Amino acid sequence: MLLGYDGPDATVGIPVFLSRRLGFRLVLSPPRGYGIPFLGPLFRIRTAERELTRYLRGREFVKAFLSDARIGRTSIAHLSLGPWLVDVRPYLDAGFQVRPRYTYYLDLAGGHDALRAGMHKRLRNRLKGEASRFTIREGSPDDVEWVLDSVHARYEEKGREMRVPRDYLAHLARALPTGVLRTFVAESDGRLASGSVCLNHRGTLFGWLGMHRPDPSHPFANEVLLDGILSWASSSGYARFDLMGANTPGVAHFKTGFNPRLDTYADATRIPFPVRVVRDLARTRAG
Amino acid sequence: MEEIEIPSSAEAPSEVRGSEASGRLAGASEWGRTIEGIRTASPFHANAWIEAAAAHTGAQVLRWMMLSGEEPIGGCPLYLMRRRGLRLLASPAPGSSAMYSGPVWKDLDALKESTRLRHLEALADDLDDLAARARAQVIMLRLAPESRDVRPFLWRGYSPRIRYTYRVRLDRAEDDLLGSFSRTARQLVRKAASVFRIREGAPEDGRAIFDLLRRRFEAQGLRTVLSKAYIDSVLRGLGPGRSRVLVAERDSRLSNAIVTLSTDVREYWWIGFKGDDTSAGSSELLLWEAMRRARGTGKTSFELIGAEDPRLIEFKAKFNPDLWRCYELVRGRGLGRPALLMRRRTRSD
Repeated sequence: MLLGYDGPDATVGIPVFLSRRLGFRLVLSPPRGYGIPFLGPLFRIRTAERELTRYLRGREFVKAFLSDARIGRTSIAHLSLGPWLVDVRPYLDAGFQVRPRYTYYLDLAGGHDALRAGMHKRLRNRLKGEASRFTIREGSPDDVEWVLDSVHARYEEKGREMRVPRDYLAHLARALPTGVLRTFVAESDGRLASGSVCLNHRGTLFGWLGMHRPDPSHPFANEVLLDGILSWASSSGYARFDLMGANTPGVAHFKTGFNPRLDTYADATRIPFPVRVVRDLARTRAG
Repeated sequence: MEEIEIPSSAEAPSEVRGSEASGRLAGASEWGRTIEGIRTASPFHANAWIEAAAAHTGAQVLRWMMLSGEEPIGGCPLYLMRRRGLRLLASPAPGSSAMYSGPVWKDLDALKESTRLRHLEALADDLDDLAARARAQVIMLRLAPESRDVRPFLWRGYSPRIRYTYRVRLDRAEDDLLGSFSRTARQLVRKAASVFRIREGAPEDGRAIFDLLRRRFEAQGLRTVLSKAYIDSVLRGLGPGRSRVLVAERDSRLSNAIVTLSTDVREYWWIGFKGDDTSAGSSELLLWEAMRRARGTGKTSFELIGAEDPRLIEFKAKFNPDLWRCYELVRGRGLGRPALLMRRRTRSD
């Protein structure tokens, strides 16, 4: 965890994960493969801060970050910057390639009825027809295993490796305060049909892991589960539900049925010139 | 450039897909009526600008209109031109001194998300189809800040570049507006007000203003893409209701000037230059005066176009503007792909 100080006061912090690849230092925030969409720096903001102050502060941070001996100017850096960081100019000026990324969220202040009214008509009708086939409940530790198994199975189907270690969730459940991790499942005829491991933080519920392509015998299980979670969250006092990710077409189209709002964050990558040469040569050889 | 006939598509992609959104080319009159009704349209979407920009850059204009059923719901001005041996389809036209253009929509954000996303995908498909019909090898779009969602273009292989601009809110009391500026800006405005006289520019100022522009660029080792004829054409086309020239005089001699363009809701700082030693403070005074006048005619914001050049950020940030992000999207087709790869390598090395 790197902290930046203004005199005695810490004004910025960034969790950084270091490793090596191809002989180069790899600097990540967040680490890849653990289902964390963004991290990057968090600044302590003073109220009524002027634009020039904000800009210069961002520039000073990037300069100090790259000058830090633990980071180094020759490292490959990959930072996913949170939606709170609108100004990525200092990263562009420092040679980062920055790509916009998106997520969806729902405002829960109006309650479940308002959410249902805002949904796409086809989804609303589907929920009316299908909801009674499922029971939505909070999940047990066994149910968490089932969710992880279904996520792994989906990755295997696509020929991809899921890098989230199996004991990661168990470790998180032990390390985090009670109630931060919440699991919800949809059951039909006594069998699990869909599940989602959610994270709870400061009034927002995040739909983190799960709800991958359901069993063909329950094609709408994910929609019913998500609707059930929204109902629970809005009646439990949550202000917002973060659908976590809107970057691939299939996933984005599924989520649009719930009429969410779009939020933007950014991926910033810096690859030193020698590494770019090696990478481009490797790509050329691969044809 | 010799005008290229664009073969019509048997079916527009948006029709094939069955989306309720579709698109087609439009004439100037229909375009003008549609754009007039879109609050988020900039001066760079107006017919007068489009025609002047096309003449200045030698581009062929394609006014792409987006429809829902038969009703126009948006427009995207496109320019077809040759650059460095490649055929380019762009919005805005490179060399026209417009930071952005791209599509504008009527109330896109008021739509349900599924419909909104489908409209954007329909446009992205239609632009691909149009580029193919026009045999364009590079497509380059610089979008206005209101175009936040560029996913449909990313999904179709466009490379994004994040850019920025500044906007100052005018919807507050004049004293609050001035009070929001930095102390340095307020002091410069006060001091300059006792030295310079600000007046509206007259036609006879045109040559002096253009010479000033050229000299200031040359002093920085730069060359302006603008010509006097182009500036005159834009101002004449937009008219006094949509453009403003303010000059600062010192001892009855023209010392500095700015040119702004406007819509119903926003005024845009199009041409201006940092003051030299003899005109110190005059740029700040001119901008303050332009903002006051824009506010007086009901504009709710003033755009200090461009927020990326470190030389200018400190100058513009004095007015405590809000930062707005906008996107540039580029895609190569055929021979355009290696050309863009070389361009990226040259810019990043």
